Amino acid sequence: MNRPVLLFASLLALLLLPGVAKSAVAGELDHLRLTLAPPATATTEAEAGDEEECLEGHADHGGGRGGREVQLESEHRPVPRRTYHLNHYRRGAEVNAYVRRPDGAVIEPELILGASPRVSFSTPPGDGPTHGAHNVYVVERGVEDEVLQVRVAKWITMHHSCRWGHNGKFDPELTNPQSLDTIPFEIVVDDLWNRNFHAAVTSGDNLRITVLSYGEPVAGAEVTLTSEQGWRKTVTSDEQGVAHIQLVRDYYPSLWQDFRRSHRGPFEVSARWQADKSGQFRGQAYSMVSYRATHPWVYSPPVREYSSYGYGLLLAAAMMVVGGAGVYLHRERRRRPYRGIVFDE
Amino acid sequence: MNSLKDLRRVVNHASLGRFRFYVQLFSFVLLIYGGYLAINVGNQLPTFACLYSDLHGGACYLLGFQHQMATPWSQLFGGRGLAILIGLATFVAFFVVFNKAWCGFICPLGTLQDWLSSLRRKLNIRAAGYSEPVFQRLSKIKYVLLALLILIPMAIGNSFFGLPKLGHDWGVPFCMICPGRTILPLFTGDFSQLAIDFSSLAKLTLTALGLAITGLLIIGSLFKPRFFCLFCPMSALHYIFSRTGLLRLTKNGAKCTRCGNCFRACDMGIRAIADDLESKNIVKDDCMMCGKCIEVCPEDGCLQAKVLSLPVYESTAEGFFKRMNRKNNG
Repeated sequence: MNRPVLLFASLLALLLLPGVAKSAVAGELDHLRLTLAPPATATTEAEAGDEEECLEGHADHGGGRGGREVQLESEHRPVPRRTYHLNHYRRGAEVNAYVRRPDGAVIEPELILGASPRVSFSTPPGDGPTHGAHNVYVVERGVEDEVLQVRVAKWITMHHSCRWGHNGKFDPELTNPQSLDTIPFEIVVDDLWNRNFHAAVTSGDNLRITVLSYGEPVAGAEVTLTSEQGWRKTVTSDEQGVAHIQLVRDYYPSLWQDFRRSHRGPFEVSARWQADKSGQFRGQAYSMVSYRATHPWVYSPPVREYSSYGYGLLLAAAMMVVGGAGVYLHRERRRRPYRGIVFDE
Repeated sequence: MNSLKDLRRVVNHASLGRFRFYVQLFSFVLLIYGGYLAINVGNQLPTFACLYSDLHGGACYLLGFQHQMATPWSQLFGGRGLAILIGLATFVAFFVVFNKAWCGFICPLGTLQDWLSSLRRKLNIRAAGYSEPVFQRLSKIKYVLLALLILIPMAIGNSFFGLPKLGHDWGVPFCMICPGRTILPLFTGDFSQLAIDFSSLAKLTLTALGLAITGLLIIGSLFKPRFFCLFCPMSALHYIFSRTGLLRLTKNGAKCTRCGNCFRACDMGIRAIADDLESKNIVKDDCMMCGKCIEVCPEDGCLQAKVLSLPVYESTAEGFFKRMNRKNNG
């Protein structure tokens, strides 16, 4: 090959390489996610433009207030209507949303696609069939490059107020995480909340994660946990579809005065899996199915980080000793010694 | 008619102390372990059934009450104000049934103190008591605690005199210092409340105070019967509604010989029960309606426990001697 041709080929490669790389990245679809606040780029992948009123943050949007910062909802404050925002969706894909209520009923929430894609549903106040965990799912399906891309975003909202009482603590249907066997790909994480419906994950916890496809365990799925500060770990699910990941400590305030025991740090569990299945979806043939799912939750600092049994027991014991000694000395002081009648000049 | 008289005689001869022991035991098991049987009597109980004990069978009203006191003024006249009234009405509805007998017969923390007193008697340790002036001074502490458990949460939701609002770590301040929170969960194997919380100054102060009071309660109850009850803000809250109670304790001053048995038997050390010959209703703010005074009164019909105006247990000379004989003969 002569030099001019070699130079031309090199230049062509330099020009095309970023494009090739970009198309490879574009082939890897991002996860579908549900968030409380509209994401900063809450658009379709086609960059649909107009912002809507939701970007300002309304009180009824899952308790979301105040713009685009990371927001968390409280399981103590029930609101009559919940709204969750989708980070994006693909035009042309089929998008469906479902909510599994605590009583097991499955409802289809209002799904609004457009510039600010979101799902919205009612959570009536008061104890009743809606008291407890609601599993919110958005399922997107579409064929791309002969691959059926199935992306699932899951969110669990705890519709609870301590005023309604904690009778649900005796019902395993309410205290254990529930799945939906009509969802193509789902992540189920154990012990996210305690028997009183309060979020219970603390850093250091070893999370038990189960990956399901239509209610059946999925072996060999890649499960990734991403923490608030971006730490991530990926493991593979076993034959029972189970993976374990220990959540690292990820909350480091610079001063102890800045430490908040009620700090809620978000983390995300995501999973991906490919199955060699072929078929047709909406008239388009595919030879493989790619599954992706996300499931966000929150963690708090563990109690052991800011409490001491040693000092506590020492203080209680010291009070007992001081109290006991005080009573003993008081009684000794009041004991009158025997005094005989003697003549004293 | 005779059979009714006989029944009354049998009841009046009975040992109320033994009956009380079994009621206390039953209540203790129900309120601490009720959750294991999916029993929950309610969360507005006028007794120290602790919410911090995870599988409780009922819960103390004071925790929810303190939460509600943090309501901002602006929301007091809305739905939240209504919720406060409903909570208070539920508490009163529970309370009127047994009046202050909630303390003497049902309170798990009171039961524990009674068990510590039994241990003291077995160890032959002499019981301690307060002199009357000290008793009068100490018995006011419960009203101070009641005021604080209302005012501190109020200062979380509202600003007083332009001062900044208190942080949420000051929420439920009485629960944080209540020995019920630290001790009752221990019976379900939960030791988590025995720690001092260093996460903030408020938590550090309250939890340290809570554990110091726990230590004092254990040692105090070993010497002084019902040591903590003299300081209990629940007792102060009870007294506000005491006159509405269906269960009453009455005295016929004309029949009283001022022998002083009732005062000597009283675990709380209420002198007025012996000295007061005028009042008919002798439920004082520190009374826990244990009925010990009726048991040791040797005068016929001098002291009576009544449901409304119907006597259910009264002092009789015959009953007194029967009980004394039973006690002396083991």
